[in-house]
Parts: sequence; structure tokens; C-alpha cells
Amino acid sequence: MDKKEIKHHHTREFWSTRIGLILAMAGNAVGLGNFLRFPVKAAQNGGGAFMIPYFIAFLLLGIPLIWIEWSMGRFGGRYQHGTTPGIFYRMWHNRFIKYVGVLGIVMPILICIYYNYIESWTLSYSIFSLFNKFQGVETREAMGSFLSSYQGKFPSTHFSSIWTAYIFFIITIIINVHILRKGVVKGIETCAKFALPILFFFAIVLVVRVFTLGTPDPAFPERSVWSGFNFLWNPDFSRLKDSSCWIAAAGQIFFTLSIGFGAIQTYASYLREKDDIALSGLSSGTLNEFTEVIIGGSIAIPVAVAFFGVSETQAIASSGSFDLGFQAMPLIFQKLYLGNIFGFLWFFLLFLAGITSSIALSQPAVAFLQDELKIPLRKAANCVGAVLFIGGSMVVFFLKYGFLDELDFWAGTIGLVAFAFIETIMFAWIFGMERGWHEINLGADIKVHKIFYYIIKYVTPLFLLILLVAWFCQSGIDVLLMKNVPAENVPYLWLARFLIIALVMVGFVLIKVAWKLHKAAGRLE
Amino acid sequence: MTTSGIIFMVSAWILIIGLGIFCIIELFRAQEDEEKAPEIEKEKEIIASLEQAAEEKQPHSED
Repeated sequence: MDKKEIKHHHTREFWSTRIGLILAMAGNAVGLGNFLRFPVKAAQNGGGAFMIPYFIAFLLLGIPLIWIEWSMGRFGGRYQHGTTPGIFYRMWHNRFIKYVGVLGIVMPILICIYYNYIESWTLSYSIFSLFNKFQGVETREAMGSFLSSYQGKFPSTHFSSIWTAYIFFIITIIINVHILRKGVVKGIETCAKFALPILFFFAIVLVVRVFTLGTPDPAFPERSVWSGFNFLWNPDFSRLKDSSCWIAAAGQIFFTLSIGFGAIQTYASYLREKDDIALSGLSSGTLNEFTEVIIGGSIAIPVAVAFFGVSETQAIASSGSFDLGFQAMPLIFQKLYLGNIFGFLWFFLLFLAGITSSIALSQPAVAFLQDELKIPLRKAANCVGAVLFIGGSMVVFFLKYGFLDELDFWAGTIGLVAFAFIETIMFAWIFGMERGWHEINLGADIKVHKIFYYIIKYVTPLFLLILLVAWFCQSGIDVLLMKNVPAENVPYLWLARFLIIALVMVGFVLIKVAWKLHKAAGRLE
Repeated sequence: MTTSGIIFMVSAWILIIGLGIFCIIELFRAQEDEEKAPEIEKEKEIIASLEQAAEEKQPHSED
């Protein structure tokens, strides 16, 4: 590090406490998927048997990638880089590699563009629950219509236009930007220190309520909470022979730990040079697993079976996580004593889980503007907020044309695995496993077993490659060629692709400008 | 709930809670070490100064 770099080093923020760091990292990982996606995936893929590939993926994919991303982030932070263009450049002094790193900024922003909108649904539904807005909506179909009219797909007696949804979306963006403008310690760390404990408190209240439900309707003795747990956990070993079960488990680990987003690197870049990453990374991953398997697995599915029975819950689960969260759950809460309060707890819990993730997804772009272009924090947060608002508005108004799904497939599914594969190759094969291993163990508070050296070098990249090829073959070709897409949706899907390409191009230009500035200031030696 | 279902659920929970307990213990241990670090540093300094004093004293006694 040269003198100039050392001088600049102190202008970046550092996490003020270790607990704040772990909570912020866990908040990044804990999201809607922990409470909605996990139980649905487990129920669809062999119940208890799903946990075998799930834990194998956690060991071979999750933990290694957590350590890789934390190491890369702390390494980059040492050189004033909080995002992958700079981190990749420092790892491999290749003039083109910084442009590959653009994915670590653009993908989280693209995901955040639609994630904020879904997050805003949880905020609005928490308020609807509290004020009994769901009263009179008594069937799943009716609740589906409620959600569709809220999303502006068609008018109903509940919502005549999309404006309610749009107002909640704007409120969500304002909250996000407000936190980002306060910076890492006062904004993100403080938010995590409040949001995570509240989230756990709400979740525990809900879990206790679920456990004490028993058999809510004596006329249907087979519909009980325990039948729900049985539905979720009873192992179907025949599913283990099916490759889709293994891919689903690996995918779930991938999404739940928020790896491949570029957000972990940014958060880790605010670590000090010799701060531990081995134990802190493992702790945040474990906290996420606790929230997902123990808490997430004990709310939605058991309660759905207790009220709807196994066959209807199966139908709900097969139609997706959102049907479970936004159609089935509000109906259930209406049937409970103080259901409006429990409904509020459920949706506000999802909102807290969402906001800690969305600020993590926005932070790479803020950090890039600050670190590489030297734009002041507040201005940087406002710029990112503007992008989120413009892109998000497209999602709000074009939702019914599949705009969100298109972004989700390219940025939130294929893009993540591709990026995780690139960064693993960068770390283990280009930066070099010896140096990488040294980075993981630098300042470590636990001894990382040497077996992870070989897992990171050989197993994790292979696992990622298999996942990438499998997903692309499963649905990538169909999505690419827009097969089975209604003709009226096609222009909107092209618009989504244009948005992706445009953001990547803007990223390239900004990187070029940033490196020119670095060069002029003599910061690249 | 079937026995195999209970076994799988409890095993998964134990695995995660066990990992959580391991992390908490190690985090506390690391924090203790961090708190002790200045004391250890001080002790090392005292030992070093005593050793230095002893070394300085030795040639005089030979004289």
C-alpha cells in the first residue's frame, strides 16, 4: 500500500462492533426466502430427505462461498475498494477484469429494483392486517384477486387502481434511501441492531402461537399443526434419486445465504485489516440457517396444514411461495383470535427481513460511487435511490407483463450463479489458493480445517458449474427464446433486457471514468 | 407426526443449534482474548524490561 492509499484508508468507515457486523451480514442473508421459499422447497422436494442435499450444499457451497466473499471484501477494503471492479483489479492486475466486476454492482441493483416492490407489499399487508382490510375476503381465490387488484392487474371493490401499491413502493424506497444516507455505522449497522432482534421477537411469538394451535377445527382432526410438521419433515427418500431435488437444495442454499450478489464483499470491505472473518462469517451463516430451518420451517407450512389440510397446502405450495405468504396466511390470521395482531407481526417480520436485505443490495452501488468516483455519501445514496425508483416504477407498472420475472431470471437466478462461479475461479485459481487461504485465516478466531482448502479449490467451482448448466438447460433456453410467452408481453420482456444491458453499459462507463480518476490521482500503483 | 419425520426435524435442529452454540462459545472466547490482550502485552513488556535489566546488570557483577 502506498502512502496515498494509507491516507485514504481512514476515510472509509469500519463496523463499530462485531455483533453489529454479524447482525448486518445476517440481515443481508435473512430475507423473504427464509420464511416463504424454504418451507415450500422442502415440502416440494422430499420433506426431511431434502435436508440431506441441503446440508451437503451448505457445507460444500454455502460455507466456502461465505469465506471467499468475506475474504475478497476485506482484501478490497484494504485498498479502498468496496466493490468487485476494484477488488478483482487488486486480485489480478488485468486491465479488463475490472469490467467483469461490474456484475457485482449491477446485479444487486437489478435485484433490488424488484425486491423493493415485493418488500413494499409486506409493509402494506402489515398495515392492512392491523386495520382488518382483509375482512370479507374468505377464500384463496378471493385473496388472490385482492392481491392482483392491489398490484393493478384489474380493479376490484378493494382497489380501483395501482396507486395504493405505488405509494407503499415509494415509502419503501424512501426508508431504504434514508438508511443508506446515514452510512455504514449509523445507518446499516444501527438498522440491523434494531431490526434483527425485533424480527426474532416477532418470529418467536408467531412460532409459540403455531405450536399452541393444536387442531384448530375439531371437525377436521387430521388438520393439526403436527400434521403440518409431518408434511414438512416426513422424509421421502425416493426424491434423492432425482437430480432436481439436489439442484433445488443447492439453489436454496445459494439464495438464502445471499451469495453471488456482490453485497457480502461490500459489507466485508468495512472490516479492519486483521479482523476475523472465519468465525464471523460462519456465525452469520448459522444465524441465517437458524432463522430459515427452525423458525421459517415452523410457521407458514404447519399453520397452513392446520387450517387447510395437507392436500390444499400441497396445492398452495406447488403454486409458489407468494401464494403461501400473501394468499393463505392472511386467511389463516382472520380465523385466529387477535388475528389482526398476528397478521401484522407476520407481514412486518417479512418487511424487516426484506429491508435488511434491500439495503445490503443497494450498498454496493453506493460504495462504488463513494470509493471509486469519490461522490459524497448522501449524493451517492440519492443517485442509487433514483435508479431504484425509476427501475422499480417499471416493475410496478409492467408487473402483469412478466417484467419482474424476466429480471429475476437473468439477475436473480442465472446471474448469481455465474457471478459466484467467476469469483470462485478468481479467488482459488487466479488470486491463488495459497494467498486465498492466507486471507481466510488472517486474524481468524477459529482454525479453519484444511479440507476447506481443497473444497474451495475443486468442489465449490465444480458444484457451481453443475448448477449453472443445470439451470440454464432447465429453463434458460426457454426464457432466452421467450417460449410460451404471450405476444403482448414480448415488448416488456425486451424492455427488461434493455434495462439490464443499459445498466451494465453505464457501469462500464463509470468504471472507465473511475480508473481514469484513480490514474490521475496516482492511486493505482 | 411419523418417527422418521421427528428424527429428521430434531436432527436438523440439533445440527444448527449445535453449530450456533459452537459459534457463540468461540465468539465469547475471542472476546475474552481480545480483552486480555492489553494485559498480556503489558506482562510481555514487563518481562522484556526485567530481562533487559538483568542483562544490563550481568556485566557489572562480572566486573
